[in-house]
Amino acid sequence: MSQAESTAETPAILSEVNPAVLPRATLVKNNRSFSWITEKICGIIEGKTPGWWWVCFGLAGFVASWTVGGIIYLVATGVGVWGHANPANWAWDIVNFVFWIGIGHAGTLISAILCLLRQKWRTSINRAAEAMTIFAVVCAGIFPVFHVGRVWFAWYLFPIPNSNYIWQNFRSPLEWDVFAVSTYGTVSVLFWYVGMIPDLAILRDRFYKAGNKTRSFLYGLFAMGWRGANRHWSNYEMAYLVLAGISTPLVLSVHTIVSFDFAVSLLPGWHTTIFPPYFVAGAIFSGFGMVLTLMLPLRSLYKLEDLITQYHIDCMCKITLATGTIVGYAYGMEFFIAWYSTNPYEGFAFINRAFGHYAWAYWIMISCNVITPQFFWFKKIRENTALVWILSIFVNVGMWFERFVIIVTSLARDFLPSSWGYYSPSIVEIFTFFGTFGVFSVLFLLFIRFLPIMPMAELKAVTPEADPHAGHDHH
Amino acid sequence: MAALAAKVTGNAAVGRLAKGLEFKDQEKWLDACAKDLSDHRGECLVVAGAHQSAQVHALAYAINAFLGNIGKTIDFVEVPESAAASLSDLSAAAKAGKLDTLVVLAGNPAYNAPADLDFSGIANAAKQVVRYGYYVDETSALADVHVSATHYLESWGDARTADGTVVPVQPMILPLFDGLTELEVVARLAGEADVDPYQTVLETVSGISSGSKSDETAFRKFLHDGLIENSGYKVVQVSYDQASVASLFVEAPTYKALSAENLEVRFTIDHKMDDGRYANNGWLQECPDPITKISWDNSILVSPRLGAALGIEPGGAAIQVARKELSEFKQGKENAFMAEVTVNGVTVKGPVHIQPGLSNWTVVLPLGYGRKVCGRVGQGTGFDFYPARTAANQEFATGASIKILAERFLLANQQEHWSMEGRDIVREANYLGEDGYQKNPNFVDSFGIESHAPANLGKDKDMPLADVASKTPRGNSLYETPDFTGVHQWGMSIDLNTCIGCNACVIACQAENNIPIVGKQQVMRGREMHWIRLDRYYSDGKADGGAFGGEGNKEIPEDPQASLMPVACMQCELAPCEVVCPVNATVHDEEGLNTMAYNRCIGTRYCANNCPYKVRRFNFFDWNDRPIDELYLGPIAEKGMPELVKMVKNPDVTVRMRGVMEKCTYCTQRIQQAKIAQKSKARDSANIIIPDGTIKVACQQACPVDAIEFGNIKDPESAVSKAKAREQDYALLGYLNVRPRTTYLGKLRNPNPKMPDYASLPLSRVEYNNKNYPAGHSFDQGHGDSHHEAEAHEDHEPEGHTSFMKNALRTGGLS
Repeated sequence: MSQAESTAETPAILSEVNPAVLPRATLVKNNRSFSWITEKICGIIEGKTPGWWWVCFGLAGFVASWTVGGIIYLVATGVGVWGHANPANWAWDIVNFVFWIGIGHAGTLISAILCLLRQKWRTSINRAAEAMTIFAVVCAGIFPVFHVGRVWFAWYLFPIPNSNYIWQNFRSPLEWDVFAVSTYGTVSVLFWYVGMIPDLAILRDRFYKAGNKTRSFLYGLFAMGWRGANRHWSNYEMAYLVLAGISTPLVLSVHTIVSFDFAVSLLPGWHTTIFPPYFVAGAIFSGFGMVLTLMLPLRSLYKLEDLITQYHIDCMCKITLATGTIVGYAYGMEFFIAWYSTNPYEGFAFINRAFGHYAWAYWIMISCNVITPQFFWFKKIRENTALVWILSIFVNVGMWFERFVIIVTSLARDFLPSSWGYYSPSIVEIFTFFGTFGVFSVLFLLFIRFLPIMPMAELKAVTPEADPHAGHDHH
Repeated sequence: MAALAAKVTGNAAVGRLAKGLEFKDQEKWLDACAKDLSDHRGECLVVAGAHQSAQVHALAYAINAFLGNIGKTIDFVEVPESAAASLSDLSAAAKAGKLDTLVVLAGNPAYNAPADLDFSGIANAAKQVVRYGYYVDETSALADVHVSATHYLESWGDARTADGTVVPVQPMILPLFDGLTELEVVARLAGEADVDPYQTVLETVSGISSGSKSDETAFRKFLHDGLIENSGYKVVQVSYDQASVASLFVEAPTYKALSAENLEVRFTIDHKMDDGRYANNGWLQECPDPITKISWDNSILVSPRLGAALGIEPGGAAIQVARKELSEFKQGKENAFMAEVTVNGVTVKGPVHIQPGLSNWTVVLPLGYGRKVCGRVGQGTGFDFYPARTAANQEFATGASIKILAERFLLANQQEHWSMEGRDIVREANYLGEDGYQKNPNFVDSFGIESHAPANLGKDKDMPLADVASKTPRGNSLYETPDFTGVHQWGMSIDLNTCIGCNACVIACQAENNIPIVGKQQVMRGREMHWIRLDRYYSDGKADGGAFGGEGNKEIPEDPQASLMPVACMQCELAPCEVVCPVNATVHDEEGLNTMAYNRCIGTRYCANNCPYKVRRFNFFDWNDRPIDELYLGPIAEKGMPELVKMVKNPDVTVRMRGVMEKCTYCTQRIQQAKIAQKSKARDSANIIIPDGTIKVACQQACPVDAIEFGNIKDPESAVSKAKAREQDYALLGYLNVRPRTTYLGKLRNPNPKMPDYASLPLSRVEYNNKNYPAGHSFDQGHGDSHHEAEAHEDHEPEGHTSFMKNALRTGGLS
């Protein structure tokens, strides 16, 4: 510290310069202790299943049966039960696939990228977000597998020995999808699981102490002998960091590969280089929308306001706003480039989106994706949880429509007007899609019932109690 | 005709017969037409349609005679006079109670005899009705005895062509079902006790060829050649007799002006159903009508003017981004209004379709649909308009009226959009004129993005076709391109000038390649399986180039030019479908074919999405294995192809299951057969190249005008290489650099500049220019930057820009 010369009068320069203490948002309100956190999170699992859970589970199961039935009918009868036809050979199936995969990206961003960026606020939401990712990938995966005409040969997509000695076509984006999505699923599950090990150990020990040997055994199986030893912790931290490092590029690459399904083709409206960053931004946008949709009710139902604070909601809203603005910019840029290129097919594709047959879908997309997130500029709105929840639903509706507009309008009216047609979904398609929300809900409800919805270990690390300098005013 | 005759012959008396004739610029039209005819005496021809009256035909012959065409462009042949009585005579006999046994040998008079003759009454009046027919139909329903006929391909017989040449009818197989051949029945009716059809034909042919009773050599030659030389009708010398023609015109015709209340009805036999005999033929039902593109039904055709008057034009959007459709399309299905047409005191009902180019107050009623007693396929297809057709008015009638009903009917229209939207799809030019073919034979090169972008082949753009086909030059691109190493490189050229859009290629392909029919419901969903399709575009020069809205987009063309284009898999050298198939189910072979491995295809349909021509077809259901009316029942529907259907299939071609993509293969089975045959013939020599013309692919074989040329483009002397060497050769969507092996020859029109409806540019060209050169700068063939100049200075009218644009604008709109 520099010492200025003391003079008789008040010196122009202060003798000691102390930077102002900027208040950091407390990530855990009300000074909750470690044990409070443990009790809160484990209490959800140890307690009796709440009535609302059963109701939701029953409903979710019923909705999930739509997908099961729809898929069985589809495979038994043929792709014709859906609404596809020339020229729209992809429609709701691929829209749904991209929709669900996109949603998953928020979880990975929260878990991995925010981890590497040392954003401590991620700790209360990352477990549930990562679970959301995995279940979204499951729902997404249904579509590329079952949309094919001959599902029983879907294994042709994988490079395993076959009697025809034919290799897969590695120039095809669909083949890249196979690797991207399977990698994404695998790494996400690994990351989620490895992160859960200390928490599963806590549950194992608690159940053991409470005398519930069966549950203790089951949790213990997955806890892999965790003793909380120093070596365990250091290995854990390293593994976590490595997995975070692996997952980070996946956030960008997986949806980039998915966007290549379109960008690599030659269709006007699909064949643009803006797709990778545009899709990734859109994915994160829709993912955060889904995180908000899931976490806000959970927060109220389980009284987790101290762990998921307004600061958390603020951060999520701001990321939603940022990515939503990027998406809005991408819409504008696409349109500009289509005009600037003077390519008649390209120009028509965009005019047609805004004013053609599917104009209604286009304007839903614009209002939900461009206008809705702009509300998050305002603090008053960010603090209104109910409003945030409603807006998050609009975000996802808008993102579904974005994929619909991209896929269906570009196919419906392409190069040769003689092939122009109109696509509309069939009942089977509609029910199969809405059923996937049931599948997702079933999995998510099982998750919140049986697994720790927040990483207790990481949360404890950000409570005031964990701060070694707690009590000092400055750091 | 009368007015024209007056002009040509200069005989005003004849002109007085042309009462009530009124069309725009009438005098000018007649003058120009008459002058054109007169300038080409002995080289021109005036023909009257078969449906016209004797008087009209007489006038046509008068003109021909006057112009000296008889013996030069038109010959008359002597046709043996028919001693047969007419249906009217039969009706009279029935009414008089003179009918004992009625034997119906052919046709389906219960269905398509003129309604006022009341065939069912005739049949009831007879004591016994015997029907000899291939199908059980409406006439069989009235008969007491139905004698099953064999198919003509199961029978011995003979026939005469239109010009009278005698041709054989030869059986290909023994009758599948028990039946009697035509000769067996007719000969017995003629009194012969013992009938051997083969003998009968042998004797007849021997008699004609050599005058003997039995000439085996002549008969074998007859079967081999397929005809008897010079057995046609003989040309006779005729002369025009003014007096006897004048005797036809004793009464001046009465004429009442046509209007929305006084419509003319034209009965036409359907292009596919004929007089109704093919109603149970699934291929023909599913084949789209060449012009309306409607399948599985007929419809009442009205003109755009009448449609507007009746209020059935579709609404259109506030901002019309493309031309308005001809009808409201509800989710891809044409949602037609039902209407009632009353003519000759009879009312018939049917769906209405607006037909551009139809004369304002004429309504067309296509016949041949709405059969009542018909097989499974033809049941419930279309509407029967025969009840409105009387003996006196078999071809057309006047005094009709039409009433639109509230009811709607969904039609399976296979082509929703009719306009090229100013895109360079069919490239056309006039023969004469500023931008015509004569002055600019390379007119196709001034179209499209390729016309002002660097050549696809870059530095190799002048490489000969044979080399391009095998080396696939990169053209300075970084992308690796395959080398095609085969001894043949297959290519195809389709001449848009000669193509008449008849759809014979569509059916030939269906027959050759085991393409299934899918039924009306699935066609409405857009799932028809035809590998080759005929695109039909109308151009009226009014397509609006404006990006948003566009008043020009809100009109349905009243007097368009139609352009037809057959589109099948182009077998692109740099196929976009091959890149995107994840399992390598579609790959290129060494001879340039884009092959489809059905057993590898898992049906992701990415290839179909990436095909810019949209020629790939997906098997959405088990079209072959399940009945097409039980598709949605899935596994509980009946399984298996009926035996008879199996026999239809070509054994050389795979029958595809559901979930598999298919498309035109350039008849690879025929190519393989020819290659094998050639190799067998070559033995040890290296002479394995198939001679040009040995292989005819199915569409090429069936094309009545030889518009399709197919062969080896590695051989510069082959017919297809010569076709591709012509200046009008272009690739559809060539700028995409997919390098299609099927290219087109641009279309030429040759309008008479003196005619009042002359358009100095084909209307599709006018639309193309409106869209792409809205500033109307002077048109520069093979230009570079002047195009951009126009874009940059949109409100700047270049000094002395040609009057072509003004001209186009003036003549582009006709009425």
